Amino acid sequence: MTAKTVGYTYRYAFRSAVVGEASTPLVRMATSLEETSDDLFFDGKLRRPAVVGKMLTILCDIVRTRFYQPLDGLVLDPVVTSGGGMLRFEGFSSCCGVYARVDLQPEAFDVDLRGKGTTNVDFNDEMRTALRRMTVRDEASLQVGGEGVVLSKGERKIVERKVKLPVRWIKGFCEVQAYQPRLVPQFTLSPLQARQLFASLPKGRSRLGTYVTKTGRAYRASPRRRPGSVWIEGPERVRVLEPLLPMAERVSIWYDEDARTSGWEVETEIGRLFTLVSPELNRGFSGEGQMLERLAVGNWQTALALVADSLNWQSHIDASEIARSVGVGQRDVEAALAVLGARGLAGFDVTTGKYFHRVLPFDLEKVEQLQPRLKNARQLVDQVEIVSQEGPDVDARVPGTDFTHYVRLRLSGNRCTCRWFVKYQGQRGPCKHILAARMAVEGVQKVKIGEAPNGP
Amino acid sequence: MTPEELKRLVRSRTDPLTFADAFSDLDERARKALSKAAQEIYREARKAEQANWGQPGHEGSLARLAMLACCPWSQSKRVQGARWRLFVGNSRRWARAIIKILSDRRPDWAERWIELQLDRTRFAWENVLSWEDVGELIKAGVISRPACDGYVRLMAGAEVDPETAIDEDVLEHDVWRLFEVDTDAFDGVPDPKKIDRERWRRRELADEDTPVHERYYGWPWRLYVLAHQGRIDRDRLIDAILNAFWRDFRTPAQGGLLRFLAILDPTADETAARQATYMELLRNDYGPVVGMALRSLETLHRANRLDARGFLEAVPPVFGAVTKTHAQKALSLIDKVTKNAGGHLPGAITAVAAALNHRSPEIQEQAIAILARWKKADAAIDLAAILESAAMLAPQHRRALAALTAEPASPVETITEADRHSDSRDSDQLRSRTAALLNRVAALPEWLVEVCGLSRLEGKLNQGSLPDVFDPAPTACPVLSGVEPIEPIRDVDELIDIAFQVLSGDPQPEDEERLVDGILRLGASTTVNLRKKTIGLRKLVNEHFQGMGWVDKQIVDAPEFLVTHALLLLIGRWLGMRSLVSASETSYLNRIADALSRQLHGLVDDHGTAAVLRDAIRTKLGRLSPLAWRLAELYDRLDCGQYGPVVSTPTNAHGWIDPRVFVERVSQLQQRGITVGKLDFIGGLLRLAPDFRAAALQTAETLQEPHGRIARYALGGAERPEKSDSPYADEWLAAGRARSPRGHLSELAVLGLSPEEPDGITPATYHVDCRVDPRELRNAHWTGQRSLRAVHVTPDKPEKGTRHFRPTVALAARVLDGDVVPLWDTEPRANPGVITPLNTDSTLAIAVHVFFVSLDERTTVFADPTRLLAPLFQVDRGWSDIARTALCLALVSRDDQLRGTAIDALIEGIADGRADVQRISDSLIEVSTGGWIKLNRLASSLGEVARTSVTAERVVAGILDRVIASWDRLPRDAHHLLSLQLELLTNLQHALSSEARRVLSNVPGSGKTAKLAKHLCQMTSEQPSLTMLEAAIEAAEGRLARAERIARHLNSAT
Repeated sequence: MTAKTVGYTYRYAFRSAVVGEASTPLVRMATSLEETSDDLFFDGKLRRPAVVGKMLTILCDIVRTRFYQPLDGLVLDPVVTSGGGMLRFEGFSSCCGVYARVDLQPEAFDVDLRGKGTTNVDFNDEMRTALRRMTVRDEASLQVGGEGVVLSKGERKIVERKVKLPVRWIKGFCEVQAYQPRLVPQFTLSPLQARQLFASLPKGRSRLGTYVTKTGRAYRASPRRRPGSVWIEGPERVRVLEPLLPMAERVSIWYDEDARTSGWEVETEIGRLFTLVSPELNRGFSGEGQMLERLAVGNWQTALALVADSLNWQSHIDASEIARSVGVGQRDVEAALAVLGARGLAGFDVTTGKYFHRVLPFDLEKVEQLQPRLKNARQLVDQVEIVSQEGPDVDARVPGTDFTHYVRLRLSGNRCTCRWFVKYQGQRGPCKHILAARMAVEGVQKVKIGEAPNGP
Repeated sequence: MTPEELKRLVRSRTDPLTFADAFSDLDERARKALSKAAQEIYREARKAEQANWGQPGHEGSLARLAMLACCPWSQSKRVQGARWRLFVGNSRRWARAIIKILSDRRPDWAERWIELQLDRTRFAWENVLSWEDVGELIKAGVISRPACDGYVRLMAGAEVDPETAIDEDVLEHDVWRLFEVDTDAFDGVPDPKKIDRERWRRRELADEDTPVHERYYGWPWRLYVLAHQGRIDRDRLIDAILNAFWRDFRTPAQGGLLRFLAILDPTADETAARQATYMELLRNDYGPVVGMALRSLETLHRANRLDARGFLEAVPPVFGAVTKTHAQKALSLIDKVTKNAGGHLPGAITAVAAALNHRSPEIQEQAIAILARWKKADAAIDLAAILESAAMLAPQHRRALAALTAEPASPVETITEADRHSDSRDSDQLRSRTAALLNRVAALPEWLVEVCGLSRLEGKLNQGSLPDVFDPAPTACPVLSGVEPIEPIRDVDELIDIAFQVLSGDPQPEDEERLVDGILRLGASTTVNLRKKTIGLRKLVNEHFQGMGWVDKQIVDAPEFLVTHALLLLIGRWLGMRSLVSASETSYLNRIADALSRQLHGLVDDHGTAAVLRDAIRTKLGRLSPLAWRLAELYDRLDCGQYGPVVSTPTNAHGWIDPRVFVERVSQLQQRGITVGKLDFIGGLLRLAPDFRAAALQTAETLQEPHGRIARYALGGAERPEKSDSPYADEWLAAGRARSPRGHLSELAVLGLSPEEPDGITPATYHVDCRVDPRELRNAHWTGQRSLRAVHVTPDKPEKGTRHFRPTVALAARVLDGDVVPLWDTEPRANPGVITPLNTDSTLAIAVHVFFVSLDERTTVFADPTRLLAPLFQVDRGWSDIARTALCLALVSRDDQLRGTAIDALIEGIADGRADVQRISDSLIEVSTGGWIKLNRLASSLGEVARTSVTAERVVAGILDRVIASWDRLPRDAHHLLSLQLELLTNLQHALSSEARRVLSNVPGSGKTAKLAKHLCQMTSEQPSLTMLEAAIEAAEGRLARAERIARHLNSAT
């Protein structure tokens, strides 16, 4: 399968090179001339190289795995962000059904982080091999520049080059920012409990779902749903975390009951690995459309520019503080942050419950082009016929492919008679008819994604 | 050459090499002049090929050569893909032509084009160019050596002619890349044990009689010979293999590399020189590599050349893996390394500490044994820190380790009084829990205490015994407080939504019944813009109906579709879609029977096969599910415009109907002058909950006859049938089964009902023959031999033609028919237990048959078997014998989903008292009589159950004790159960019963099982431990929770 990539080109002032003596190598990495990252934004030695190596190996494994079909995974690469004292690596599985992020805290390094920025990193085979071989005794150092990641271990040097970002990553990066804030903590497991839970997960590649549940004093996988249980389809998408369990201090599980997405976080002493698992094995995050309504309508436009101006590579963005400083309501700030998340300008950290600033290296204008439902909805707005309107309750008729659909907008949940809605019941975001009806009612059909009123 | 000449040349279908030769004298300028013409020819040829399923033709193939010969990179790069998509026929001729064109032209993009070709194809044989062809281009200076992975794949797949000399350049560069890129070069390396290296190297066995594995002459053989000849560096070769183990190679490639390394057979010196590398490989994720590294290090140890300190530092990651083999080997090597080398002890202790956290208790035991030996040799060793770090240690080993850290371990693990006092649970606290519990029981009505198994509780708790099992009479315990109510559809808007959902969404199990009820109740109502709102629904119904057109005509051939068919008709009729069903004077119900008769009538020949056909008709009628028949009847009611409640719609989950609602619905229909449908009424009767029957009986006094008498009889009234009630015999039978689900209904004999029908007036009894081998049953099932059965039903003569009017009989008859695993289930989303929730034995008998057939299948292919266990999740119903048998079979099933469901059921059953030690163990022992159950699965299932609570631990330990006591001789895989039992008894501070002890006390040998048996027999306990007491209290609290819930429900209802 050929993945579409974003036609975004980095420009560098010079080529990266390894200079200096073999015993004291200095790897000079060129950074992008784009203003998304500093020239050199990280340079330091790792405190627990084995743990870092294992976390990044798992991240790479996820990124290169197609869980839905046992075919060769795509050779995709994670994205790294440095800012606010933290280093974060993010990526998606080849099937886009699992989002993974490694958060390395300052404790992971013996130096302060130097610069700020976001870039793609090419975790090629040499890099992956080097990560796997890291041990607790290694004196490994990690240098991250605008052009990639260089790992030096002993006298072996591996330099990675940047690659283009696949289009569906962009869609996924938008979607996961909509899912994550809705996650609520469900279980926190000790290493022993985590090991028992993972042992109870169905073996092999399975398309059947399972519920992670707490029964009495035990955490286990069960085929039956109970209140408070967490749904997982394709348990191998979670089992991929198992190699990290011997190094874990705790494992936290988060869940969004409505969307049935779950977050799995393995916390180690120097950082954590977080994965967000889509509700079905054959569903990636890239096509979920959870952000559509937010992008189509809402009151975030006013706050957006102000909030965007206040972003400065914070690892944790305090919405209340920004609200105070820019003089807008906290809810508007949060909505604006969510929209910025959809534009790749902010990520969400479930552990802290806060956004972090990052500028994904892709063309933000393209996001809208990647949302065909939104585009189609805009085309339908003029044809929406409002049948009745009583307060928030609106009935409307919206032309469909083969007949006119009846849309009911209700506070308790919008409904449409189209097949998309009937099939997914809103779990995959609103259909184009609901979007069009809302646009018609709320009159904000001209909103463009990737281009705020004053620009972010 | 002019463009016209080029076109003619292509059309001439000349030989590829001749075609390539025609361009040899052209300079770049001349080629450029032909570029447009070449593109045009290519475009036309592509069009022609697309019309021929994309198959390349001769002209198209020449056109591609012309592109390469004349066009710039932007066009030439379009010529790429697998050889059969580019060139027709023998690819060698085309390859030679390509080489000639590229060699003559020498374009600056030649290397890019070659790399593109190589990277676009996954296998060497897909390429038009061979490795030798690319080598020729390199030699000719047309391209430099490709750096892409595709080149390595091409080389790996190349036929290596043993006689052909290999260039030094290849030996210096290319062959080493075979260890950097994942290819299939090493996939077929022969097993080192099966080859004679000396002869293999000399190819002496290369004749027809030589086994294939010895004739293997791929790259590994070539490399082996080259290394032997000294043409490549053997040290470099070994290093390359060892480094390759860290790469992302597929498992077959990793395995091949391991075999290749074994063929190379590194010497002691070579291994010693790389011992740091071998130690590093102990952290490898691929188990066999770790095994190889351990073996190599052991060899070094035997040669006294092992760096012990380095090994002890490197070995802990081995214990992080799940497998036991390598952990055992590693521990053994640690033990050997530290013998007579006390200086290594600190490092060795750290390494062994890692083994204490291994997943397997066996490894933990081995580690403790090593620590014990060290401690014995040197009492000054401090092991205190180890106890703290061993968070994953199994309970049965914790005491042994604790003893090592303080005082010498006691040889016999006796639970002493001192141990009990040292337990963190305070006995005073348990006493106060008991007192509070008894106070709460005292506040409950006496009948409820009795029904919930809480009578004589104080005495039981004082003795430390578990309370009585919860197994009330079928109509003694109210059930509605434990099942979710089903909300009826409120209005037409909701009805529209549910209809949409049933037809194309993912409906809930009860949505179909709600929909039918909604249509019959609200069908005459309307809503704003009803027509506009239902445009989509009508279209959906039409599409579904058209999709089922063939079924409409041959409905009797596919009775499994009748539920869907009837649902579509109901929706269509509600929406006024008259076109769906042609006008007919006969009812839908009759039409089904008529159609069936007509179809079969046509088959009657002159030789009097009518009896056979009559039998076939009856069988087919019997196969139609009760729901399907009920829907057909309701359609006819809708067709007559008789709107009103559906009597048989459940009010609660699991199919239950509140008796008060049942009477109210019948009353409403009678008041509106609507005839109560026979099947609807029967369906309702069979679903009557035990709750509120007295209240319902009172209101039933006003019901008109004959339904009034039948309903009152069902609800426990004094009415009895007379002979004149025979036309309503089926209704009386349903009422009898509602009144006495498992009783003999002798009072109904006057109605002429056959006593030979199972669950007619005689209750069905099920016998499971566990001596039947599930594999034989499976074969018999799939080959249609219904004679071999594991489940036997008594009585066994159901009448075939009209059994659909007696659903209890119909369900029991399905077991007799062996028709229990339909390809498409008649009621896909529901479980059959909802038809007769008062007695679900027939469903569970079907479950037993299905579980037998699919015992060793990883997943069940056609129907979801887990729903057959749904009756076990009715929290206020006891478990019958057949229920427990179904549970036990599911616990040992290979299907993860099914086993998980059974584990869930057992956990819930233990928590609320439906599962007790004696009955579950009896069922388990019965199931074990066949000798085919896998004890590892049973141990895994029971282990998971036991983890959930202290009560579960106690019950599972009790079950295991009785199972062990039942053994005449120990099963081969008994250690799985013994290991679990040891863990549980340690946790519970309890011991084996005398019966179980007697079985285990004579286990001979010194193997795993014998050791476990000995360990178990050494455990003693004089009186129930605090943990056992806690389990008893917890069990009583579970039963009390039910009783209090029921009491609250009854109070709130009154």
